[in-house]
Amino acid sequence: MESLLALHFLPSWPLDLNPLACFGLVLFLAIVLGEIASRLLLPRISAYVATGVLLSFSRDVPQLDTLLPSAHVVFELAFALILFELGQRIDLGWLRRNPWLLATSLTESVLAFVAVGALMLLFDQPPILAVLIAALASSTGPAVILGVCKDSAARGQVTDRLALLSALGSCYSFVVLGVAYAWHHSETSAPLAVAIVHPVYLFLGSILLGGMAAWAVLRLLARIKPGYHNQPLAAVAIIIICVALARTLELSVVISLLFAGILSRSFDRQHRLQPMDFGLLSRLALIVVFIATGALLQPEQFLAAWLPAVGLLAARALAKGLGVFLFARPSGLSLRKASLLSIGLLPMSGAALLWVESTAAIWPELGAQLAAVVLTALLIMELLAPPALQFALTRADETGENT
Amino acid sequence: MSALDFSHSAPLSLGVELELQIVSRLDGDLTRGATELLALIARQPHRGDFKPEMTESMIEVSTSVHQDAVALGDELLDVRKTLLAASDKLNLLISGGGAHPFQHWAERKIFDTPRFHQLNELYGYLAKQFTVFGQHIHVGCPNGDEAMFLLHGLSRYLPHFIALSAASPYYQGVDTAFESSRLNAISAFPLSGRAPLVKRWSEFTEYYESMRGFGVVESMKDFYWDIRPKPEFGTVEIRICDTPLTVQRATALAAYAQTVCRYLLIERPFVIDEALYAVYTFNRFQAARFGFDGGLIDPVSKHKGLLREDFLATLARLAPHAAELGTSTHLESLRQAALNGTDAAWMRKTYAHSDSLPDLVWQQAQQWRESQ
Repeated sequence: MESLLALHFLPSWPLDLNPLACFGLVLFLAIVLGEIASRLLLPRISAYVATGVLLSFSRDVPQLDTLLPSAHVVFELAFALILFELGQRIDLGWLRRNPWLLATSLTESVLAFVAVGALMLLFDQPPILAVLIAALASSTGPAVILGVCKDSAARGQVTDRLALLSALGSCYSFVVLGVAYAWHHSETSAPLAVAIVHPVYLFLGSILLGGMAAWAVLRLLARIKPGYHNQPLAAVAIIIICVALARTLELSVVISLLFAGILSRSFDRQHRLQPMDFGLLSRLALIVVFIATGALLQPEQFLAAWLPAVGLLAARALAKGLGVFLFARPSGLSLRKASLLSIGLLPMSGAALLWVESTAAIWPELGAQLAAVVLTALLIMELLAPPALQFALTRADETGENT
Repeated sequence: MSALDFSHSAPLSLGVELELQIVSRLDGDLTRGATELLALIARQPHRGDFKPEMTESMIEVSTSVHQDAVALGDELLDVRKTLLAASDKLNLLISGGGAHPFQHWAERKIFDTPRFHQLNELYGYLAKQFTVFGQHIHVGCPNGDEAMFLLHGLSRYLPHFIALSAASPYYQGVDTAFESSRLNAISAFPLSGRAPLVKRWSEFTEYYESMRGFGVVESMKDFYWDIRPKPEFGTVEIRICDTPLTVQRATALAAYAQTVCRYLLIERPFVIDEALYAVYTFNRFQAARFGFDGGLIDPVSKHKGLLREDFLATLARLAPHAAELGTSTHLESLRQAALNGTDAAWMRKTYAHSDSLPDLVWQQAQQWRESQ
């Protein structure tokens, strides 16, 4: 006995599960499940979401709660990196060369917005809630698009158009959200002028911030020698600063980062940025974002809200499909590829999570109502959309050889 | 009648095929887009015949038959216009050049047709490494015997075509030190290189039938020779050229081929025998490696000199024929290229300036779009 007491340097039993260990275990689980998914020809992303959902069931574990605040920061940074990377794949000049794409983008977003909004009114939701839900549902999730396209090394028309439509849709939807917020404010307190100035500030300010970040990235790249991943790391630093500034200035992180990516591409006359690849970091970002998405979903609300959620998804899918088909031919896409593009547009944006949370922070009751429908729809889509998207890319013959 | 009847065609008529790169605007890498491009182009009446090639990243266009190079150049300009309108709509870039400077061949997908799948099966990694882009020039021949005469006669001038068209110094992301690295990719195939020394069409038919009998080839398409007869068209086909960076250079190369053929047919400057081929591979290598700075051994006079000197001397001999055919301005543009730098030299200079291969691809696409 005495000899055992001498071993006081040993930790006490049971072992203390600190947040770091939790993070490691979760990451490990996600990667293992991801490999299993890829053997089953499913996208790895689905496995990451599933890991998150599993995590959400063990929310009672107190150690996991301590993870959440830091998880938030990591989630937001990871999401920012994904948005920047997606932005880099967007060429706004394409809209000039092929204006039918702008028509496609506006139509599919507006139709989805109107269809979902009308449906929510039918379900007797208050108008402000209908608008918020419709705005969140009208866009296509940039993270899923980027994740699956990278995972399957996709290249081609459907891939390029998905990235473009998803980025544009995200911008519209966040402008509408900004307006809706301001509107709700004015209904309750603020004067009308604020209701007009707020969205303008939100949109133009975010683009300006994105433009400055893009400029900074390019200036840095011009001075930093390639090699040792110094260039992408410098870009990551600027992305982090950009996120922080967007927060401080009350601007949209999504629009800022998308435009940081888009404009860094357009300002880059010498094509310095083209070889930029965040590599491992961007893979890690995708894993973190999808685990977090899964963890923040609220599957316990599924039974209460499944009907409006399924209705929302159906209305949205039809509206988006219609928007794509209307302009498929003039925009130079075969009907076959148009149907694959419609399937590809199914993923919902995980950014909805952040909006649900910030809504809940300002108006708790509205936030809870929003969460029920939106998060249930998101739960369904996060699980079903990635395989659907991968199917669409495979059928479009745009995936890489080795997947 | 055998399958290898040589169709009659107007002597010295011209036609050109160009294999072009389909490149992504975002990163300058090859991208998939041939299917959509072809579908868009098919919607409108247009000049030129557009076809899929081995991979989704390649599109082939062929012109109709022309008597003179100026008309051929006009058609190629129209072809360029059609192609640019369609590619702009799809956000794709079109580029000349014999090889993509940094594509990774393992990522290429084979175009979905039985023949291409069969080639992929047979040649393995060679089939995908064969993502190289060439210009083929057809010159009309009155009959098969004359086609064989031109085939062997042209072999003397093969190094000129290599150096004039060379536009693939970069391959798989490295400077290969070659002016045309594309030729090395082609040389790996068992039926590449030179045609056997048969002078009569009847002998060639015999040779072809025996090869077919062995199962070595199924059709003429399986011969990847530098110069081969094309009996369906009634032409001799020069296949050695890299796709140049501009339609103007492509036109000038065709004009040069036409002028050399006229010179050969009218002056019959040398006898066709095996001696012509004694230095063939040496000259071919020198031209691909060093361009106009390479050495050339004249198989007829046995004189050893620089390729550039030999080319300039040839231009002088061709001058009266060029005047007859109306190709003098085209040949002058080639003389300038030989003196001031070919496409390969332009590519090296451009890369040295920006230090970025994606930027080089971008500049190549600009060349293709804007050259006058």
